[in-house]
Amino acid sequence: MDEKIIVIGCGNLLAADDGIGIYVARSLKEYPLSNDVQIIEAGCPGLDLLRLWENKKNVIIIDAVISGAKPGTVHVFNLNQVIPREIMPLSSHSFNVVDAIELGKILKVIPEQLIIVGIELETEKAYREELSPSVEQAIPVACEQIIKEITNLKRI
Amino acid sequence: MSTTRNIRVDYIARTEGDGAFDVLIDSNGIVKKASWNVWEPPRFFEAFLIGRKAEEIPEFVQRICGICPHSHHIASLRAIERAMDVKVSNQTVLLRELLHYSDWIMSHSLHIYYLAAPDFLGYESVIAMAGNSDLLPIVENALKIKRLGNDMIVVLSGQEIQNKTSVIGGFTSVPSVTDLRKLQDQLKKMKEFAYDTVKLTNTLASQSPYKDLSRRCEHVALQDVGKYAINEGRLVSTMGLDVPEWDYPKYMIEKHVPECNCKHSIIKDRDSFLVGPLARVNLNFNTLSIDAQKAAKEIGFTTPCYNPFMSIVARSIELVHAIDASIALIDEIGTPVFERPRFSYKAGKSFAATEAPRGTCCHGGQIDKYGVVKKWDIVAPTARNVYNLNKDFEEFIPKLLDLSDEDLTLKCEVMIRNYDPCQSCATHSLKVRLQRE
Repeated sequence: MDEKIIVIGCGNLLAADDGIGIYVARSLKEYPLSNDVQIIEAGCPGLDLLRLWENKKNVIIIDAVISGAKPGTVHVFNLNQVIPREIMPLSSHSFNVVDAIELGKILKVIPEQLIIVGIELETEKAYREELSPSVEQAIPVACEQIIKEITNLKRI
Repeated sequence: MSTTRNIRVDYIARTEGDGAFDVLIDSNGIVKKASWNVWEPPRFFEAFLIGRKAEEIPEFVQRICGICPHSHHIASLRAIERAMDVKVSNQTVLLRELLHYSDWIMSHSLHIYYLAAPDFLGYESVIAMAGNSDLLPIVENALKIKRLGNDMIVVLSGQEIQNKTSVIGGFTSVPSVTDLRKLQDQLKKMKEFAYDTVKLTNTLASQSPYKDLSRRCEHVALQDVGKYAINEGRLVSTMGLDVPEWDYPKYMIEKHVPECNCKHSIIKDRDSFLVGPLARVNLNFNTLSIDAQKAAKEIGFTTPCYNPFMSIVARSIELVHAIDASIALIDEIGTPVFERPRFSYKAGKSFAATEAPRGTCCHGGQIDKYGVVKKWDIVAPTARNVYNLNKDFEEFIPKLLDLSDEDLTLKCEVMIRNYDPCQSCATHSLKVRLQRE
């Protein structure tokens, strides 16, 4: 079992705010993090998340959320919570992080600790590279939240 | 009292990219309209390649797709090499085949187990399938075999999905024999599961109503000498086409159609045609690996098979072949030796084709003496199949009118998924609308 903390940023940089998970993962690299934290930019992995988190003990996923909350809102979920499937974006084969968690639980390929940090998007308009200002301002907030989660995971 | 039925699905699930389908049936049960519309926006690849240097083309075009990058990559490499008269070593030919088979293993396993099997087993998705303890081992192995395809790409190219090492003239680095042998062990371990998959998919595709649905259309594939065609060959068909691959623009004609971002393809002076695993198995059965042929014979698969619902079986037969071929290629490659890729610019024009997991993938164009691309043509396999699928709709929907709208919609989706469409590649996705009068 790999004891490192794996942070996986998800999103499509060519679909406006959908790319927020990647932007946050990149910004996180600017923070002083210990060597046992690994950051992965995963694109839109769908069920490939199972492969990314197999044998990992602590995992944090960063992804966009479409729940109707105010754009830029930072949500935090853990494995014990039921995340409504429809609030998470889909990969091109129509799978998302909730599907990966569900399949991972059945196959017993699931981290002991899994935190999902979701950032509410404003638009997932395709073929637009920049973030909406409302979502961009959430980047430092999400980063601070992830640093807190990393500290908590280390305590466990 | 019968009424108009309109089945429309605006987002076809479990396919790559965005598409829709729309079916209108009048009160007499006549299909008035049946169309698969690929509405993923066009990406203008052919246009933005103009003015780029030749060596950039294989880099760019492998970004067309995350599931068959090497089909595009290798077709473009070979077209450029033929245009500029670049010769490559036998080792490069073998490594390219192994690289492309890694796409096949990844793509075929994804399609068979994750995208298509739930249709035939009556599950909404692979996750629901995994909830059944009888099917759980299949899902577990499916995950392993798909991962093996990804692992092969990492060994061969230094990263997942798109490769970093394959260039005009050869490879900028070669894998170690130790890594290749490890892959070979994994391939041998997965072989039995792939073999059993042929039986499983045959059972699924043989259930009613699928087993009685067949439509004779022209099947087209590359045919190589002495081996199953994947990276090169002549273009042959079940209706006598037999031409050099670089002549594809003369024989595979494209036309624009309204409401669809994807052009329709016909064979010159004839009609729509099918590319993909079923066409390949039909045309090249004798060059499949011995065990792939044995698996096909055990289930009573005979060629030519014109039932598009059997494409999942053809794909399973090819999965066995892809594993066997990869094992054999690793033996043949032995200990790879680094050879510096070399080429010089030369004006020329050429086209080439590869067999992508979902069918014949065509690339080619014109390069000037400075190595600058003047024109580039890309025809992805799904673009070849769109028109043929519309013909499947016209043929099969009248036979399925007794079904409820819900079931008929599902069957239409299955008809589309038979093609394992990559709608992102073809635009150059799936929604279904069924309308009954």
